[in-house]
Amino acid sequence: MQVQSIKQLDPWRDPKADLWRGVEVESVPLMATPLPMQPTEYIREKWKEKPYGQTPSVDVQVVRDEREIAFHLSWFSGSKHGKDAAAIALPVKGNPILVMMGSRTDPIHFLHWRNDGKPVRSTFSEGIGSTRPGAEVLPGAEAHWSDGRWRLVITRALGRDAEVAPLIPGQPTKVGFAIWNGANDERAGLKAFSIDWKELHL
Amino acid sequence: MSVNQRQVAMVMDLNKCIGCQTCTVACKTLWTRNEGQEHMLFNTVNTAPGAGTPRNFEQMGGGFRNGKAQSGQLPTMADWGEKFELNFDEVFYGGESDMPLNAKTGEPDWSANWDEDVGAGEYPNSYYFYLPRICNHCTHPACMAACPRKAIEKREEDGVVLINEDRCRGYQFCAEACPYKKIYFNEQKGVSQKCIFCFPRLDEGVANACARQCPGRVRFVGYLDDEEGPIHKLVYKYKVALPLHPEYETGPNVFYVPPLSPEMIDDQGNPTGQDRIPLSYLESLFGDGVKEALDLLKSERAITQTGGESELMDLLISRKWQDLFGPFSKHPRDAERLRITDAADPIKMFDPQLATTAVEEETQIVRLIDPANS
Amino acid sequence: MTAEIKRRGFLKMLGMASGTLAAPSFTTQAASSLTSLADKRAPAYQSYKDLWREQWRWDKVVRGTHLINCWYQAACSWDVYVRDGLVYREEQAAEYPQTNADVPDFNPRGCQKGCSFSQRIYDPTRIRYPLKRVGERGSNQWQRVSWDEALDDIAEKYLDTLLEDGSDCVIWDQGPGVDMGTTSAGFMRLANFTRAIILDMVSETGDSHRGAAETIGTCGGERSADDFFYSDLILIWGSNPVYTQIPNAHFFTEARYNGTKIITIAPDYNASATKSDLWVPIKPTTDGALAMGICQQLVQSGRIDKNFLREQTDMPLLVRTDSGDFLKESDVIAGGRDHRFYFMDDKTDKLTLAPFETLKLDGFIPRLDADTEVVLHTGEKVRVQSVFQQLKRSLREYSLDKVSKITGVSEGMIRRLTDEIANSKALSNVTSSTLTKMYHGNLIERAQMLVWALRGQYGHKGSGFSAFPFILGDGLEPFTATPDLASLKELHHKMHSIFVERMKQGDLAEQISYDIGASAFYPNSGLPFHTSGALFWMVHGGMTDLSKKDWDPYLQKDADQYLTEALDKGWQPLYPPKEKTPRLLFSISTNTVRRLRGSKHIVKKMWPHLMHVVMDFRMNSTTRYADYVLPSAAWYERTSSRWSTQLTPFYTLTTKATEPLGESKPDWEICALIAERIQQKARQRGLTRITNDYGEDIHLDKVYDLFSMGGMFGPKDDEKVAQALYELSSNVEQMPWEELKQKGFARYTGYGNAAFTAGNMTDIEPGETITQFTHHTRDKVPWATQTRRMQFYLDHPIYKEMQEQLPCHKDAPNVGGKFPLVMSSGHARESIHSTWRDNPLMLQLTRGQPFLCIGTEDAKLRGIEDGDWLRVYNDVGGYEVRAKLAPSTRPGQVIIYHAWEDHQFRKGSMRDVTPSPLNPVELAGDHPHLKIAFGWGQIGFFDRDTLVEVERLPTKAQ
Repeated sequence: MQVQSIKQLDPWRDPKADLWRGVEVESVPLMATPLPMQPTEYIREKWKEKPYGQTPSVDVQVVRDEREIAFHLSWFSGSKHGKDAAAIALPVKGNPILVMMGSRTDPIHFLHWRNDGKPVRSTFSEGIGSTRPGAEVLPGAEAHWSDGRWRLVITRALGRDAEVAPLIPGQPTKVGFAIWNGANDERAGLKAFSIDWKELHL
Repeated sequence: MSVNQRQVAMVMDLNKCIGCQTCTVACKTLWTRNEGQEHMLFNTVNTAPGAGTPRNFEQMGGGFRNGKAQSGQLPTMADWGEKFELNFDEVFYGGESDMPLNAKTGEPDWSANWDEDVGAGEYPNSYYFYLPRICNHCTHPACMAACPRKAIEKREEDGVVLINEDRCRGYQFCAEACPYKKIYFNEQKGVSQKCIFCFPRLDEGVANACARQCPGRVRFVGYLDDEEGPIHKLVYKYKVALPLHPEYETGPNVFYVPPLSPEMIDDQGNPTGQDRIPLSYLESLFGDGVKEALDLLKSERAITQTGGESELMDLLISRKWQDLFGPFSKHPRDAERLRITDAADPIKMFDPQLATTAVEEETQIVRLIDPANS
Repeated sequence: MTAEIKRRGFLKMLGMASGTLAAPSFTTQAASSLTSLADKRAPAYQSYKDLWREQWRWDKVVRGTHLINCWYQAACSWDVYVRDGLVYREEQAAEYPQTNADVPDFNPRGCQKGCSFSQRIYDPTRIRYPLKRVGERGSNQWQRVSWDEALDDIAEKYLDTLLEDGSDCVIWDQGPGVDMGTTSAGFMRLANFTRAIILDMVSETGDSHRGAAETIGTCGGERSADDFFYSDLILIWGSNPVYTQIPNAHFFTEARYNGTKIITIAPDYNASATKSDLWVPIKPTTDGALAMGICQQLVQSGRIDKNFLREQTDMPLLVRTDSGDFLKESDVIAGGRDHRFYFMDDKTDKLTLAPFETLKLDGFIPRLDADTEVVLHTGEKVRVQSVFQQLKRSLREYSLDKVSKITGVSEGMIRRLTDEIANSKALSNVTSSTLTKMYHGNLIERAQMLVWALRGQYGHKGSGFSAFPFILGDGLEPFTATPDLASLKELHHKMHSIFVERMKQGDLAEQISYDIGASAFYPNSGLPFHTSGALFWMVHGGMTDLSKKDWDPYLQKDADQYLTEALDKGWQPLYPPKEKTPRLLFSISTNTVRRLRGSKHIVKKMWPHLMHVVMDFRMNSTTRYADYVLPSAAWYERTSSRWSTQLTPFYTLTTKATEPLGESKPDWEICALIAERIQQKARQRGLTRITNDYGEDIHLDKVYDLFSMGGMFGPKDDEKVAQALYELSSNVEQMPWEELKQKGFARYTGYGNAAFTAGNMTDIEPGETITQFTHHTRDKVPWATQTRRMQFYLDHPIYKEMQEQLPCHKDAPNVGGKFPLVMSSGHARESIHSTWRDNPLMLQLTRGQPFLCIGTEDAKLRGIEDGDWLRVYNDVGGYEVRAKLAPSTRPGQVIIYHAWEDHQFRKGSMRDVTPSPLNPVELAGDHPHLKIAFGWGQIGFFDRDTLVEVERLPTKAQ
């Protein structure tokens, strides 16, 4: 996944901006988190006959200027009234396994948007069920829904820190995605996620 | 799941509960007074039979069956009963005569006590009683088992079940899984919240607000394993205190003394000697032990009626109010941890020095006339 | 910032709002700015548990109570928790002593209303500033004005009224918020030294238990709540204590475990019935018939306490069959006395004068079923019968089948009830004032008391028929009356000599107390000048316009005619008289317009002619019609003591916990400021002493000097006043004032010198529960009636005219017209009067709106479903309300609980259908005990037997 370099990020914060039409789109296929991996018996029992994580894919575009990076995500949702959500996963260090939400030695940094009017959350994960508030990277997000699709721009400052995934021009890293369908009560591990990391070339 | 060393418990005597909601209000003004908590009532009192709070919670699933987690339903705001937002300013200062008080949130159609005193049956054999409820602080909490975040803990020292808001992400699997539906959601904070069994008070030796403020003297608080305490005696020795819906398999630590009821009336209007609350209904709430519990209450009462002594009746009467609270009978005013020592006017109880100086000045004036001397 | 830090921020500002932190704005460059986890300024937040602990934190705790008429459940001592200068919550003090080891203690007391008063005083109804009406009356258009401006206007009007119309055209209306503490001291002193009229509102609220007053000469009398523990049978009859005696209810539920049986007699299966062993469903308004039926069963089967009847009651006294009057000594002996009565002595078979100064029979055995002839001093022969003999005859009207037909109670149930009563060794009642709010409530109560009398159930532990509970420190009465403390001594001497003189003449101390109290209803008493509230509103408010004569078949004349005749005969005093027009009305701690039955009619008639000043802490139905609204300090913002009842015999204090909100002021201070301003203006105008219509002097230039006892009790001295009231009270356990403030309450040691409570006729002993009337039963002190006995026979002309000489059942009149449903009511669980009625928290715990309970059957008949909008109407008016379907509501009955505010109805109000017709017997006067007294002996207001029809509003109006 190639990050397109631009001059000034500000006009790109609008997911509807025409600017985005000129950027390469990569469709990332998604799959449901397997039921046996859901952390509690209750969740497995409740969802055993109920499908979830059915969002087939998410279209991704990425741009950056000198200070910030912007991810443009677009996917089919059908309704804008549920608590739909999307997350971007970035490895902090090592080679974390995305489906395991990382580990103590190889943690993952998430940027998490939800359709609830609240700001994007930064979270830090060292494995399933371990997610805690992460460093405040002061991310931004703007979302727009039309014709059954969400278009979402999530921005983050470039840079790195102890618990902040490195995003440094010239240094390739990896990225993963997850989508929650709010109308289907999806939250926590009930989601569609990109099966494995995508290379991210800054 | 951590294993707690001891378990605190509560017994609520339904023969003493008068449905006054003082417990509800005592809890509300202490714990759920902030933004995001408007609709929350950690403690509720509902008329039974009735829909309860949230509405029809008994049909919402959760808990366990044969040890297996059962799926549950998440109550909606409408089920809880929203706090009515009222147009006071318009009514009092709006410049229009006869402006009625309205709920801005729309015509009220449900509340946490909507079906108060409705009950069931037909006149003159209608029946009802009050069922106060808090979190049951279960031995096998379904909420705790359901949480994917391990954000619910059972305190080792007393088994109080708490939602760790540092960990909670507001997924509400706990609220679905709790078969008693005692978990609310705080939109403002994005976390689930529920009765905390007044742990800050317990930690200071002070009984729960709902219990200590109950004018009906309904609630006993203490450790389940204290064999000399009233709770152990009521639950294990006399077996008159029973858990609500034991079939949910969560092992509640709140127990209820089931209600006696006035005689039924036959077609001619004559009393029949039969209890008017159907036994089957009470058994559907409190399980198979109801009949024995009610029989024992009646037979012990027959003893006091003829002037005899009954330990069980004495326990339930609890002539000294403090006896309800065992190790938690400290006065809240004396919870010393909380004193703000550098406050301008710290509280001094019965400081004789303070009393005499102030009174000397004042009494000169009003002691001029002593009715006894006139 | 991090989420951790957000939590710390939250911690710091917790208490009011949690979500006010703005979303962080965008900052640049991750690197260094990202690592800000360690914020040194933050308090030591360790975990979420700290957030909860933080909630239970306070700056100080002050003992307080609520200065509201919760009556039976009154006077609970609370800890008021203050934080950041505001009251944030309250919790029961719960330090009441246990009376003795047999009985439960009083802890913790309190209820959900008291527990949420901290919420009430900061809710949107709170008045913070003086308001002046600027639009049409009732239009809710206000202007905030300064105290100065308000006081100026009010003082001018006060002075003008005194000068131009007379002092009796200034009216002080008090209500349920009256504390008998510093509020009362304030307005009563101001009224006293301006000779303004204070309305006695006890009868007007329908509370005065006239039946008791007719029977024993006082409406007072009650036990302590722990005395119920000695009862083996409690009849909850005309009460719903589970709603209205919340802090006392445990005494009933615990007595039950102690073996006591509880029987509830009520039309609906109410909350108290659920705590009973037996519930007796009864047709509303027919309780008197049931009582008479029980009496008939008891008498017929001989299960009566003859010794009690002979000694304590008028049952053996002889009545002339020709005139229906008692046979008097003056009938038999020329020059004999009118107030000496006869019985036949069984031992000697002789006509014998009943002992009058004692109840002791001295060996006589009064004949209960006397029926004989006596020769009068004129030589005329007259047949006389004992009251008991007449009673027996009239009881024949109350056969089982007839009573069953009237009351809807089955014969089997009546027999069962009679058996339970007959087998009881200690029979008590739980009453309140629902039956007394019925047109024939007096007859019902007389019949109930007869049941107790026939069984001799008075004066021993756990027994007694209670009517009107009340107790107060006796310091208030002298404090309100005296111009300065030095003359208190004079006042005491004066009172003392009145007692000595009259007792020498054979009068009872109890009667003398009542007479001194009643003197306040006439000019020149030296006491604050009172008039009967009910009579005042009935006459000046034109309430008789609302009623029709044909509603009550026993009425021979129009209500107005009865009224005029009674006033002409001087049976009842009224000030100002009918010809004058009230000009200045103060509503202090009362919701006048909410309280008065038929209030819209009264407002329409009277308000155009007067200035109305309301002193309250919250906007309500009454402020809407006011010219000035003065903000009173709430009950945690000032210091006062309050009255209570012997059910909970503790003198209770509220101590200022926080400063009054906004510009509100304690009532004492407001009254002081008005007095000050009147004096100032009088002096400016060069006014000094004036004399009113009744020859009473008013020193206009000294109103404040008198009010404040020469400045001793100034505007800011309400605590000093509270202390004075306490220390002047002879019947309250004394301790240093500061200690009392810390403790919050003191036990009563007796009934003291207060006129109103004299009728309890018992002692308050340490370690003993309180049982009323022991002075009669144990010490044989006569009752304060015409015959000096419990008196079931009344020979007053109006009682004879209305055929109410003996207790009997009369069908309720068709109040409001002939309609199929009785609209009854009862005091609510979730409000004391209207004080919490529109409190958002209480509304959250009910239905958010007024509702009318209707039984399943009646609802079905009218196509009504739960929650439907209804129109309730009769010939007087109508209102709209939502339906609550309740299977426990009796067919033929609908219930709307007490005191919804006018503004809570979208159309009309519950008071628009209640005309409260006049019951002529209540006008009685010129009689040893059927006459005006403080709190009773006046006409009453009735609304519990109003008839209505109910219809479902069409769908579009839903």
